[in-house]
Amino acid sequence: MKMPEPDAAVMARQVEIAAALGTIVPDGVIADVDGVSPYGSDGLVMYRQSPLAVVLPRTTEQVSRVLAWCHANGVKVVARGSGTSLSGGALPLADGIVLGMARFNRILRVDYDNRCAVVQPGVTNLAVSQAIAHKGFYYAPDPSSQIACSIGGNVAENAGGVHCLKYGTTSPNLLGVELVLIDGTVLRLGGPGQEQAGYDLLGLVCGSEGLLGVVTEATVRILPKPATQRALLLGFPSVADASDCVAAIIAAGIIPAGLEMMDAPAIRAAEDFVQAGYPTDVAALMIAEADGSAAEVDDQLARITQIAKAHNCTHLRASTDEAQRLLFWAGRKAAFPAVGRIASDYYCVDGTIPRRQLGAVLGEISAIVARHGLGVANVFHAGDGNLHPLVMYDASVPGQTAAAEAAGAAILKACVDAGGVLTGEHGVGVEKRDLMEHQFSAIDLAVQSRLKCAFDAHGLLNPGKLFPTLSRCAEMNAMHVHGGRLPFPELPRF
Amino acid sequence: MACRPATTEQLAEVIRDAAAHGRSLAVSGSGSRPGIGPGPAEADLDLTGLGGSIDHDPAELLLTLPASAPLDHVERLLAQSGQCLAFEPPSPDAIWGLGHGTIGGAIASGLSGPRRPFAGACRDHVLGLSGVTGRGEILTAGGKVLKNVTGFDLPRLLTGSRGTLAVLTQITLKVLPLAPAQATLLLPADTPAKAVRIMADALMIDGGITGAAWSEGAVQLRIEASAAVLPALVDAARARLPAGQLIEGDASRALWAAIASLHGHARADEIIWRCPLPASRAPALAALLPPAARLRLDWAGALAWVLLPASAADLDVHALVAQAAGREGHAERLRGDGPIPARAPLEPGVAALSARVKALFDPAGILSPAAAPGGAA
Ligand SMILES: Cc1cc2nc3c(=O)[nH]c(=O)nc-3n(C[C@H](O)[C@H](O)[C@H](O)COP(=O)(O)OP(=O)(O)OC[C@H]3O[C@@H](n4cnc5c(N)ncnc54)[C@H](O)[C@@H]3O)c2cc1C
Repeated sequence: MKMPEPDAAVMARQVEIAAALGTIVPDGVIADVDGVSPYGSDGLVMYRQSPLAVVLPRTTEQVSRVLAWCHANGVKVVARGSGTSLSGGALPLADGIVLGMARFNRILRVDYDNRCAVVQPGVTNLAVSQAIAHKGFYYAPDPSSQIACSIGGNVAENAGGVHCLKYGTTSPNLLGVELVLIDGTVLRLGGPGQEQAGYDLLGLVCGSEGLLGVVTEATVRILPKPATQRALLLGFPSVADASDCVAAIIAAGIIPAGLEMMDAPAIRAAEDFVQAGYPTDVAALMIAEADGSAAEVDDQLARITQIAKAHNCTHLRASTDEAQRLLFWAGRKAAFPAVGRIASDYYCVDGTIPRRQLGAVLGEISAIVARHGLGVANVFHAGDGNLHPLVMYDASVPGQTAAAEAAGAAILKACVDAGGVLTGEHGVGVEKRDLMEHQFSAIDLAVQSRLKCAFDAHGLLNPGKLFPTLSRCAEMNAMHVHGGRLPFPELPRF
Repeated sequence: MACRPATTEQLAEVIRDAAAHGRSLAVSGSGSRPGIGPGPAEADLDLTGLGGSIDHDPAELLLTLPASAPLDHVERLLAQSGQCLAFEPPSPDAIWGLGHGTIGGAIASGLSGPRRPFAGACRDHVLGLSGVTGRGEILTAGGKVLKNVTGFDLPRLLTGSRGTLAVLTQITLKVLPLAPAQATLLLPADTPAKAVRIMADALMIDGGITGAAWSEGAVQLRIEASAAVLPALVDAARARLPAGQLIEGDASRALWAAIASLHGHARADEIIWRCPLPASRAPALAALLPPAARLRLDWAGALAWVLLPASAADLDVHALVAQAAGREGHAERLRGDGPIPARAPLEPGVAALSARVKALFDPAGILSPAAAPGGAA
């Protein structure tokens, strides 16, 4: 992975930079080799790079002053939440600082009347739900990493979870942010209301992977916990039967709270790991969850059962109590570490396809990994067509890391070729950056990357991520000066 | 002057030419939403010539269609397979009386109806878009899948941008099942404060609630479900709420269509202000209104409609909303004229950022300049 050429002049100023930032955040700057090392990579462990320094601010004012200083001094900044990104979004730059948001760890306000919570970005996803559980509320987006990942990271990645078919990813559950721009400007976008005036800048910031600003506060929507939650465990003799069943459930007008699927290798790995009682003689396993009032849940599960039987379902169990429901989920939620037990390393790929292409794309995934001499286990957010092939490899065998990366790239291209997209929830980061041209035209990419100029004209916030090349903003400002006399058609500025 | 391109390439040509000559264009689908329409410009851009096929895949929950598709036609098409636009766009015909408008207009205006707190806003259902920027670039954004975080979220940015960043030509939406049965409970509430309390309590009941509004001394609470389940949900809600009347089936549907677009609520000559704000601030806004003003609440109180007679055209609703909700609410006049601007200025930092965003899409400032945030509306 090629990162932008580090600026030697900036690197030479490391001591001075750390000292200057230390005056803004006393006892919050780490600049020694051992100290910065834990920040050298995120959940995409294939890549590692130590930053110039790590700065750990506590207040919005400190964030604003740090960013303004970096802006004035041409120093790049990578914001970091909990470092669980699977796309290298939080990978440091050799000539930049890491702005660690872990000290922003407070829940500031819970407003039950308006159903929102105002939280600092370093609060973990699960902590939000835990803090409001006593009032019968929860925060709906539930990424599998929820015990560790931060709300700031969730906002930056527009993170999803197993319940987002019904409840949405982070963006529909985000009502407002406080955002600090690279020049130190502090903005408020949205708030406890359900609509903001003007452009949907909040929607643009959500999922912008730390390229547009640093989130220092988030207002999230909270919901009353469902009165009833029950799950079905459904086994099928083929992936085709299972995916036809998913389509039939949705076509019947049912939006389950969760609709997850695993293939045979993933089922076996999960069952060996957590003994969830999964049948190991089926080719595909589905977990369908219904939530709501008891009447709605009973009705939905009865209809799903009927549909599943019509699609050759060979194994069917309904959870009878909460412990059993959680057990059904335990295997799915532990699928990643379970695969981690049977392979020395695994690489989690994340693409979305139109669901009807599932069978074809799965066939292609098998062919791709076989071509690279590797194995694969598949888990899917089946309801919304989001695939997570876990490509198994051994980093200690020369060439296998590269093979896994190549297989991942080929799988994502296959997703795009099937009418899908490169990433459903993990983000582009550095991982999929160079594949963006496979999905978007040069113009599409130019329009997107140009937006960065409105927020960060010098490209100091998380450069080298998301876009293969950034637009040169000065050039565009110059064009703007000429007003209505632009040279058309404009060539994309790469 | 008007021009009516027949293809996206022609549209791009028209926009490039307009940009090169600094000639502003009024972008509108069919002119059905004049109150939030493009405002004055040197030429009208008529988009009704940009057709295309409609692709609805119910099992994938996907609908791809040209921006020019008539909104009422789209809703009928979806209903045939038991689906809907879950954000329940208000019908412009009831508000402005100039037809049902296009889906492009519904997305570009970004208005969400009664289901917004339960099913999400307009912007949450827009998966992908094609269009032409103010530079004349033919753009595709988002995708045709349900879950997608690839690149910046342009579909959300362009939804509700009122045609000031790009002219939409094609749209992909997430469509959802429409519950086959519904009923509405009418619960007496003589003040907005009582109404907001009742609605907040009602929303704690888990059971098919998809609408909570207030008008004329009563909270309206919509419950939707399959026919088999609906009676149990209605009973459960009644057990926990004050006694009230029940309205079922088509009568309930008609009631909510009217709430969405104020049909039968706003008198023909009334000025209409739309004010999103935190629900708990709605009673404070109500207390500030003069007797001539009439108030309607939707979104469990988080959307206030203020209806004014022409004689109260000089009432500064922006100031009242600011007094009631600080920066957490805002107001827009959808219908009627008066000395008060239809929209209030944005907070300076947000206004500056919005202007930079506008300039990157439309450097010559030719797309509906009066409708841009901070534009002279
Ligand atoms: C085992 C495992 C399971 C996972 N399961 C899921 C899943 O189910 N669904 C899912 O969506 N993801 C999942 N992920 C991915 C990851 O957890 C999410 O992307 C998460 O949102 C990242 O949060 P973080 O706090 O760790 O952010 P980091 O990794 O620290 O950063 C991620 C990005 O956010 C930016 N960022 C962080 N904080 C801020 C801030 N305050 N302001 C601006 N930018 C900021 C960073 O610059 C970076 O670009 C999983 C990861 C692991 C390791």
